[in-house]
Amino acid sequence: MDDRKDWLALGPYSLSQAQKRALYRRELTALTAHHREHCAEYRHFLAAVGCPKDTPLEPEELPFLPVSVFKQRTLRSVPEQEVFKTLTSSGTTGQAVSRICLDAETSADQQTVLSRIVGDFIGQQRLPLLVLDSKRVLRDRAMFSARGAGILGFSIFGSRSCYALDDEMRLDLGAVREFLQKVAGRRILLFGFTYIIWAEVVRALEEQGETLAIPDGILIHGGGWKKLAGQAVSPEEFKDRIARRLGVRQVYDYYGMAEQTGCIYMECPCGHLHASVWSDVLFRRPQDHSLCAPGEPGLIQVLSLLPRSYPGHSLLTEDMGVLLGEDDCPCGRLGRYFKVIGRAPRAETRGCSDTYEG
Amino acid sequence: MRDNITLLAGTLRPQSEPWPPFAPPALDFLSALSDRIRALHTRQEELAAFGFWCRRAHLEALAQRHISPGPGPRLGRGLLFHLAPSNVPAMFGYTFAIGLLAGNAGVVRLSTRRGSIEETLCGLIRQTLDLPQFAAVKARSSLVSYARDDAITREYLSGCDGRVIWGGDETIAAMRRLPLPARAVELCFADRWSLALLSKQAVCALDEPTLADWAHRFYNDTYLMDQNACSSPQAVFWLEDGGTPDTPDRWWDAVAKEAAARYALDAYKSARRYERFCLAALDGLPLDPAGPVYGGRHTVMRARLTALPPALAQYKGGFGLFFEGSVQAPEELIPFLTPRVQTIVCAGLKPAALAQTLATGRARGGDRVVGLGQALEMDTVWDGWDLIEALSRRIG
Repeated sequence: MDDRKDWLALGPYSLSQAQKRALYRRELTALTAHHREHCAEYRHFLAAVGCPKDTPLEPEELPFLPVSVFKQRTLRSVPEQEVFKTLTSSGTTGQAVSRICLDAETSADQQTVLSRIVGDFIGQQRLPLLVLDSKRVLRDRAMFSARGAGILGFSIFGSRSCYALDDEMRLDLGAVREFLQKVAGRRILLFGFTYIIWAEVVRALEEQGETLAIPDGILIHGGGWKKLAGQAVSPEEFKDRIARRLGVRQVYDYYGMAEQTGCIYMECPCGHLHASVWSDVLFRRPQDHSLCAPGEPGLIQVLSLLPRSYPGHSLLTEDMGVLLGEDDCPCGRLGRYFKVIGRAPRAETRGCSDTYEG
Repeated sequence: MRDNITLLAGTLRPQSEPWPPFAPPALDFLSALSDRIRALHTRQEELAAFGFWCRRAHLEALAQRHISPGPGPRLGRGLLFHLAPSNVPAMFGYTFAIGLLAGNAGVVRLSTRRGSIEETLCGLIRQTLDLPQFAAVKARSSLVSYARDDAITREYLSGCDGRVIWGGDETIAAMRRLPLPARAVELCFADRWSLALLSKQAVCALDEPTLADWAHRFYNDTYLMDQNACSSPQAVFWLEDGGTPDTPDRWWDAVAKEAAARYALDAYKSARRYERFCLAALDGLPLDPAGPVYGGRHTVMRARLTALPPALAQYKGGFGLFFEGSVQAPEELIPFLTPRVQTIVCAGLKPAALAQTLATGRARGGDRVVGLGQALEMDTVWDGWDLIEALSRRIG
């Protein structure tokens, strides 16, 4: 437990990859043993993949669960009464959602780590926050979605906040302008989900022929390009049209997921996504899940030191990415940096089920 | 409402006069269709297989098989509504043909997501039905497509004498919410699970060319449909009746050779397969602690069982994932044959003898025992039903 507090206090990008490897070997081996002991399902899984007991595991040797299993099984490594909230991924209607069991400790660590990572980009002081979403997302606490969790997570950076969309997800220009007037002359943090910013803010402003002037704004957005890829919007075009309609020039994308909340991968001014000391990425070949050679695109495997209440410390995503480098980004941040290429394409498969839809 | 319906072949408002099973005009039509399909010399295996199934000699053999001495003459039930699955390309053809053979008129609803095999087969059915000599068959045939729309389906159901639902548990549940006339019959084809039973002694004794041929047939039973067909084996059991210990490895090497050459394992399939393996592992299926064994550039993934788990039939393999176990005698399988189990593909054993073993052992599941290479072959006895009998009536 003491070790744990030690690494929580590290600077977010203060470890070289070699130092990180030593930390991860120790911590992830211990975390794997913790989940082996406290989660019967995970214990079965480790046995079935032939994971050795009582030997230190290199990060590359850690077994990985597909991120999708959290949509099909509720896994926890703490007694049920210690589950303090169950986070659900924000799947679209009808789709299965992930269910992530959080206890007080894991949840608090997630919050700490998020604030340390974002603080590295925007500074430690609180800023006026313009949330590019609707407050309604927060209200339904029964289904505590990743979207709501993201907004709540970022709300700690806000000294005062304003929601740009009304309950019907329409842009409330009056409220936004009033807020901007009140905080005129200050740096402003803007936060939202990529697709919602695009569809409900940028496109809405364009259709109404309106613009906003937020030259001191810092926009942080995440939630992926999946939906935008279908509309053929590149990150460059996204930034360009944000600049034209909102006047915001500092735009940072991040990569993250409900299954590893907190340790998000922020985009630096060089356009690279960075792994903080609390999480890391590996890349695996889509067909046989072997490790990619440096520079070879592959499925992103995410490692995190945080998950103690559920066995989510090593997960294989269905996102494709590529490692760009280690310890040598011109922005000065140590550790790995990479880029996300997109989602592995979904193929048509055959079978007897699935008739009546479509 | 009819505006939302696309007529793919036949007529929009079919007559519902019952015919005797295996009526000559139905046989003539299907064998003419068979000739047209076979004239294409298509490389689309499902289409070629359907063409071969509809050949006159096979239809006549079926007619012979379904003759049963009964108390009186038999007739079709009238008009059937068929719901065909979207991802088994030629299935709509089989259900339509079987309905006709049983003496019925038919409405076949196809999904709006249709591939090239469906388009080709629909086109051939349309052309054949449009020939003047098949006017009577055309008048009782309606192949249609519409997006999921309960109002349209209700209207069809209100006038039908039976419905035939393919497509698994969810589709059946959706359909059962829609009423059927009181006297109409219903055939539902639920989600099923299948396995293969291989004689170790027989496989061990094979020479290389025969082993390759068996592996080829096993490939067709499984990989051809991504192992997702109800009748594709998800698990392989070795009957420990002799042979050498290296026999399973030799067998899988032969399968791997075939699969590496023919099967396209992409990122999506690999992810689904790994997910299924992990779910089985998380649930505590007794798996070999050495981990899964891969072969053939990862096209084969063997998840070896250390014991026979009661819930085995809940676990799907797929995309080259096979659960693998062994039994000392076929009877050992019987307690694990839940009603979900459909086909048992056997190699080196006589299917008829194994079927008798299941009957003697009063197996709850296992509706079909076939030889290697026949898993995907459609039959007029399916899921335990005599389809001709179930879709016709007898005048007593």
